[in-house]
Amino acid sequence: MFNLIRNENMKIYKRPRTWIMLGVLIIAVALQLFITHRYFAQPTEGVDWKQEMTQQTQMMKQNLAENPDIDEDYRKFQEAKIKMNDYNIEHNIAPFDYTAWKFAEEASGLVFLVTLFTVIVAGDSVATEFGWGTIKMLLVRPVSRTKILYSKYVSTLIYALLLLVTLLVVSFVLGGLVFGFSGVEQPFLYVDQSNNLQEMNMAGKVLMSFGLQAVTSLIIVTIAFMISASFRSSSLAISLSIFVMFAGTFVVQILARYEWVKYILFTNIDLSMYFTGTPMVEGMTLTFSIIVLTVYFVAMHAIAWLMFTKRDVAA
Amino acid sequence: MGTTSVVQIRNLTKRIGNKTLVSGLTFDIPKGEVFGFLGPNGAGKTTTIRMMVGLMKITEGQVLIKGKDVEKDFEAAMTEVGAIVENPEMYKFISGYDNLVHFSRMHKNVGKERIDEVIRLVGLENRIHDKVKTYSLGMRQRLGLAQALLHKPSVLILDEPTNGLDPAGIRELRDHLRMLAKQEGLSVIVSSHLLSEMELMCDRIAVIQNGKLIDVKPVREMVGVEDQTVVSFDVSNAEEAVKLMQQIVDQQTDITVQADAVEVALTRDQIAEVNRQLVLAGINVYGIRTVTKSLEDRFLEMTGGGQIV
Repeated sequence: MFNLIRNENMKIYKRPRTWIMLGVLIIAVALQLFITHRYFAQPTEGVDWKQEMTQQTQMMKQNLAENPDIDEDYRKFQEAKIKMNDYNIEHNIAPFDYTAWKFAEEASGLVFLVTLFTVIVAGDSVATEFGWGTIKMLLVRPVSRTKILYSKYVSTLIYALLLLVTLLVVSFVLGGLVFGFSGVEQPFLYVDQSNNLQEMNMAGKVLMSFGLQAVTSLIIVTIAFMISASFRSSSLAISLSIFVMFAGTFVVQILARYEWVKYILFTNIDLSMYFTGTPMVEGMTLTFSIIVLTVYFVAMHAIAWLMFTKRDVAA
Repeated sequence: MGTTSVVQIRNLTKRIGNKTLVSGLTFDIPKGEVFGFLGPNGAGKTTTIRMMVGLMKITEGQVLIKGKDVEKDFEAAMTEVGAIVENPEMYKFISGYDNLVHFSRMHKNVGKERIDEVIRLVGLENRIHDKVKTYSLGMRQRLGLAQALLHKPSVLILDEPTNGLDPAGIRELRDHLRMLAKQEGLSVIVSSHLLSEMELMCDRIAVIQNGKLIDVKPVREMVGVEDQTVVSFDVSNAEEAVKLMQQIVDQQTDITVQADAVEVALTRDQIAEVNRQLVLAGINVYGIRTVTKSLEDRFLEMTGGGQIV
C-alpha cells in the first residue's frame, strides 16, 4: 500500500499543473494581503474611529431604550454588539488593526481554492487512467483493485493537506511580515447562536476556521473522487463537483421551507454555523450534521468502490 | 492435467446481457510455446484476453495460470503474468525509467538491477530517461515489453502487439518473442488479425470466430507442407500455355489464368516438365514462381470467407 501511494504521488507531483495550482494559491494569498493592506488596514482620513464607534454604540443603546417591546432575539444581538464595541474601545483595538492572526483567519476564506484544486486532482485521479488507457497496465498486477482505489484517494488527500498547510503557513508568515506577529493575546469576539457575546483564543480560531473548512473540502473532494471512479470521466467529475460546490448552498436556500432539507448534504456541509453562526434549519445540532455527513461520506465511498472494483474494464 | 501447461483455459465463456461474446473456449498452453490467437475483428480475442488478465469478469469456466485460478486467486495468478492489452499505454509525462519504477513497485522483489537488466534486454538504454511522449511507437512497444517482463513472469500475454508497428518494428518484436520463448522458457500468447505475422511468430495457432474456437493447430500443419505446390508461370501466350499444361497434369487440377500468368498446382518434377514443354512450343517463359498457400488463405477457408461480425 505504501508503494502504491508513492506511485500515485509520483504521478501527481510530476505534472506541472500540480505546482502551478500551488503557485496560484500563494499568489491569491499575496493578492488578498495587498488588498487588505491597501483598503482595509488603513484608517479613514479625518475620521476618529473611537469617536465613530462610540456614536454607533450610543445610537444602538438609544434605539433599544426607545423600543421596549422590540424582538427579544434582536435585542440580545444588539446588546452583544454594544459589548463588542465597548471591548474594542476599551482595549484600543481599531477595526483596521491587523495582525498575522487576524489576516490568517480571514485568509481561511481561500480554502475554497484548495477545494477547487484538489477537486481537479481527485476528478482526474481514476478517470485519466481510463482516458490514457494506463488502467489496463495498472489492473493486471498482483494488487487488488481496492488497494489501487484507496491509494489514489489517500494521495489526493495528501495533496489537499499540502495545499491547506501551505495556505495556513504562507498567510500567517506573509501577514506577519506586513502586520507583525504580535496580537495572539487578543481574543476573537463573536456573537453566538443565542446572541451572547463570546470570546475565543485567536490561534484557536485560526485553526478552527481552517479545520471546519477542511471538512467541507473533504466532502466536495470525495464527491469528485466518487464520480471519477464511478463514471470514469474526469470532465464530468470536475465540472459536477465544482457546480455542486457553488450551487449547493443556493439549492438549500430554495428548499429551506421544507423540513427534509436538513437531510441534504449541503445543508450540513458548513459546520462553522454551529460555532460562530446560526444553523440553516432550526433544531439542527452539530451531532446531527456530523452523522449526516458521515452517512453521505460512507455512501459515496461504497458507490465508488462498487463501481471501480466490480465493473469490467472495456476501455 | 498436463503438468507442463502454464496456462489452462477451461470452458471460458463471457456473456453480456443475452449476447455471448466468448463461448466455451478450452485449450492449454505449454511452457515455452508461442501461441497465436487468431480471428477477425469482433471474434472475441480481446474479450478472452481481458478475462485472462482479470480486466473482465468471467461468466463461466476458468482460467488457470500455473494452476492458480485468475478469479479466486487473482494476486497469485497475476504474479505469473506479464501483459500488454492493446496498445502499450504508458504515462507520457514521465520518463520511461520512471514508468518502470512505477510498475516495479506493484510487484514484490523487483529491484533496480532487474529494471536495468530489462532495459538492456529490450535495448532502450539510450532513451530510457527521456519522457515517454518523445518515444516512437516502436520504442513504446519496447517499453511495454519491458514493463511486462519486470517481474519475470511465466507467461506473456500480448493483445494485438503488432498494431501500428512498421515492418521493422514487427520483425523486431517477433525476434524478441521467439528469443524469450526459446531462452527463458516463457510462454507467449499473442492475439492478432495480421495473419501473415502469426505465421512467422507462432508455434501453434488457435482460430476463433464468433466467440467460438474453430481450430487449434501447429503452424506447420496450417500452412501446409504438401506434395504439390502452386506455381505461377509468367508466359507470353497464356492460352497456349494452358493447353500444354492440361496435357501434363490431371484433369481435375485447376488451372487459373491471371493476366499473362498461369497458376497451377504441380509436383516438383512436373514443374520442370511444364517448363520444358513451354519452351519447346516456342512460348517465352519470363518467370516461374511458387505461390505459397498462406495462413491467410487457410484462415479464410476455415472461417468461410471471414465475414466480419
